[in-house]
Amino acid sequence: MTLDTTTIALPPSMTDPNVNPETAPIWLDADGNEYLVASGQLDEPLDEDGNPIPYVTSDPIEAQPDRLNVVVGMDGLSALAAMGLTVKEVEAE
Amino acid sequence: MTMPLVLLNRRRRGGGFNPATLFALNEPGVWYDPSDLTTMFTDTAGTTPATVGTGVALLLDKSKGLVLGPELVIAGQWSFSTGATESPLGTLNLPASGASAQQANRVASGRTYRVDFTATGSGTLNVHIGDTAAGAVDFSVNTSGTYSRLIACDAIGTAIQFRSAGTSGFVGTVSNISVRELPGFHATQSTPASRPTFARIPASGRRNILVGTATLATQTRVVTAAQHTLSFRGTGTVTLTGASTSGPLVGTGANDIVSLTFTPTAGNLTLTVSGTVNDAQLELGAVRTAYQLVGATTFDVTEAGQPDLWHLSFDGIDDFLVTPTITPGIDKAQVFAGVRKVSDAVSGMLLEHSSGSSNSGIIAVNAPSAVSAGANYRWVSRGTSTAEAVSANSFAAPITNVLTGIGDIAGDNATLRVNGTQAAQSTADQGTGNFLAYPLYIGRRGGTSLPFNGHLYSLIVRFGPNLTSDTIGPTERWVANKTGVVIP
Repeated sequence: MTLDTTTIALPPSMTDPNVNPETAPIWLDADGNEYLVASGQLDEPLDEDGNPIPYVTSDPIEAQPDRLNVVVGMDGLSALAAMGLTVKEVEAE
Repeated sequence: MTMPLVLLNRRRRGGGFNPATLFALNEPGVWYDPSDLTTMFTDTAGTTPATVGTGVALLLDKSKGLVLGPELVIAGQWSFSTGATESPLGTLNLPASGASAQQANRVASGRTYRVDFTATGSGTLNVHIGDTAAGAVDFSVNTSGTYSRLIACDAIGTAIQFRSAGTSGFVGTVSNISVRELPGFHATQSTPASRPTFARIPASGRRNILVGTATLATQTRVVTAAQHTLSFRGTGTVTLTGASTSGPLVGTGANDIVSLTFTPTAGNLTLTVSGTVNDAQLELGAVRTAYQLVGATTFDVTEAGQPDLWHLSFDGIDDFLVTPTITPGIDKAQVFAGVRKVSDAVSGMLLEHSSGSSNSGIIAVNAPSAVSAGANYRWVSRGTSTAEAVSANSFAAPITNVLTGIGDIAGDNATLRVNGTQAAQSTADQGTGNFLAYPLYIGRRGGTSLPFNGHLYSLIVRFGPNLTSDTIGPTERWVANKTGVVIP
């Protein structure tokens, strides 16, 4: 596990071991594309040989709907803002 | 009885107060204390203690004292299948895949147990607490060793079972078996990304926005378009790029402090380090303040002369904890929480005993609430009708407060106190009934929405008779001490 905060924005058609589709919040880009979001001190995924695959910040940083989007080393809300994402909806209390 | 004056004074200040007294009559509820480093773990099984900067998967509830209950395993009372035996007394022999030994009617749903045993052999050994169905394995081991795990009992079943897996199962012995309840409603989070982070900041608050400041390495930080001051000791150089190109700042000696004040644009500021740069600090303002040491993460900040404030940091995105079902059995509740509210941008659910506001018999605390769109707190107490006490918009984030919620369904009282002073009260009809049986969600409604963005320093939730001011005051001051808030 890395102590850096890692933030992931994942298109719903893709999977990542750190994104729980049952509980992950949904955020939107400016075009209305949805992303499942996770942020925290995450275990790195493993390759076929069991070796960790470190997360690296995506380039460009703005979220793209056809890839796994990642920001490392920034707090989660700042990372999501940098990716150009906003929360899909705010539930009434 | 005449009480010595010294003792009276101590009681008035809250000195010596122990929140455990709130639960002396076994009142349902929880007491979470992040300043007690023995109560947090990075795994739900309670095997790895949390350290600063790690996610908390298990937060132990201290309301029942964290004293293990009586031994639940009774030697000589196992029932067996597929050739399993007990010999000598207290040692299970599992001779083949599928062999099992179990004791029925030992555990109960919603409770947590510490399971200890020594496995000697090879193959997969499955442990079941509660449900013994093949798909309900609570814990598996594949190598010989002595194991200790905390396991929450499944929603169904009452048995303790050790079973060799059906394929490549364990063949060997299981000895030194112990299963004892760890009473309390321990909060957990199984999804790593959703775990709040164990953190500490000095009572003075965090000012240094760098990381790894003892010996600075090149790094990029997000800054706002406001005046900042960079300072450090040493003979090295820090060169700024990105949001500012001021400087560079050149060190003049191992013990000399140099500083640079500049105003960047909003965005990423890269600090490129060459040579030796120690005790570095980047902070808002034109004046260098007392140095704050930031460890390997932004969650570990200390300052000489300032007490550490230990807390759980919720990221306002997906972090939350949840308890097993708590059954209050009463219509009165009290909540004491030490919190730092980082943002007022959207409503945050600090806690909710239920998964939604439409359920009957619930309590909730919003920090902030969107009801008044603002810099506030909200306390909800609901029987079959909702009463909400919403503070004025005078608590703009970032802000640190001690919150007290008092709920009484039959008494139609929903009172919110902030820092020991009443901030709002509703006497609206709360309908009928008791507070009902739900898990307690901390940091997010039902684990799915309204994420809380902030810190939790202390949390006490009690379902029990109304408390008098003689108890509320000391409890608030105890929480305040953990939170860095002064309540007279």
